[in-house]
Amino acid sequence: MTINAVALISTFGDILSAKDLTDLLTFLLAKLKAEIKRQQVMRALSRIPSKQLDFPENVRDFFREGIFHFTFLGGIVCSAGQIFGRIVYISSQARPNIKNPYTASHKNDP
Amino acid sequence: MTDTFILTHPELLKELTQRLFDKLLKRFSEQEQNVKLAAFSTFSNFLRVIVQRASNEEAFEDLAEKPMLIKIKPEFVEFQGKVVTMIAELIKVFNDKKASSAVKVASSELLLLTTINIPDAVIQHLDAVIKLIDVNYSQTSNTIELRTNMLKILGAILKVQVVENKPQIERHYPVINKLILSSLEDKSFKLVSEGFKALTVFYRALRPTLSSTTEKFQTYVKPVIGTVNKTLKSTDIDEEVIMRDGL
Repeated sequence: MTINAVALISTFGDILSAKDLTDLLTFLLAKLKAEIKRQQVMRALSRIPSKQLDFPENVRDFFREGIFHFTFLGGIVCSAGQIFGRIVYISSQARPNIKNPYTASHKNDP
Repeated sequence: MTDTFILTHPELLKELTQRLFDKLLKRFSEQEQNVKLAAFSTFSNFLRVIVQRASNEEAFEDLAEKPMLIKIKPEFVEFQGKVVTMIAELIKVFNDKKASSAVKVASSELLLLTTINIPDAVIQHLDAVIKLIDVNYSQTSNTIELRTNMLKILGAILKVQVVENKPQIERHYPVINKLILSSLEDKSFKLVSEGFKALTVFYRALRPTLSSTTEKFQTYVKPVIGTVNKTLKSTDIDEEVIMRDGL
């Protein structure tokens, strides 16, 4: 399933609407919580041909937020941030005042 | 016995094929089920031995991204016509109303192997094969194994399309799309999983002639985005429940 979602992004990333892309990425980011899913998502994301895709501006912001969050958590999760960084080819433009989509999508967690 | 010769004496294979292929093919219409299954097994081994794989196949982790790296060995190219005949006989087995579930599953495995190893032979009977997949997948009384194999054959056909972009395959996109969408909504996890695998290959087959405004994008891609999102969300909830309840 995760592989399929990543294939959807990697194949149609440049023509999907910003909303669809952001929704898909939000769910993928949420999957980084569990170790097994994290490995799967990271492996899958590493296959996205970054330079071939032209993401809309708000999706780029989304990646920046992701990088901030994963870098903040540190450790193994930090490398996920690096992968997200590779996708949109931005290095260190994370902004600490951006609302965090990772926690926002899990406000109902126990 | 022919099975053993195929596997242990590859140097005799060409001669064996010339002498026995047609005789073995007649066993497809055998009344005795075990004889029929043994004939399928022999043809499966034959199909495994007459092809070669490219050495860099391991470089492709994901099946969906793997290009067609299996080729028929030059010394067996002359038998491709015989494989085409075998497909025609195999289709008759599927259409036989008396065929048991075990026979149908075994013949679906043989059809899958042929689609992977010698796709050109299957493409020559594409209309009949797609119809066969449609009928056997849609019958919910069929076993999950048979229905899963139908989706696997569909995925293998789509892999051919990724590489070769054949108009005769594109003609069947509406049926292919219907079957994949139906599998994503199925109760069986196996079918859903296989459906998503086929869908991943379908994306790649669709992409070359697609933009956001084309009819193909609106017909084939747009409807699945919601399903993918929904499934991602539901699998995530399942996982949270498992973690919370310590299951």
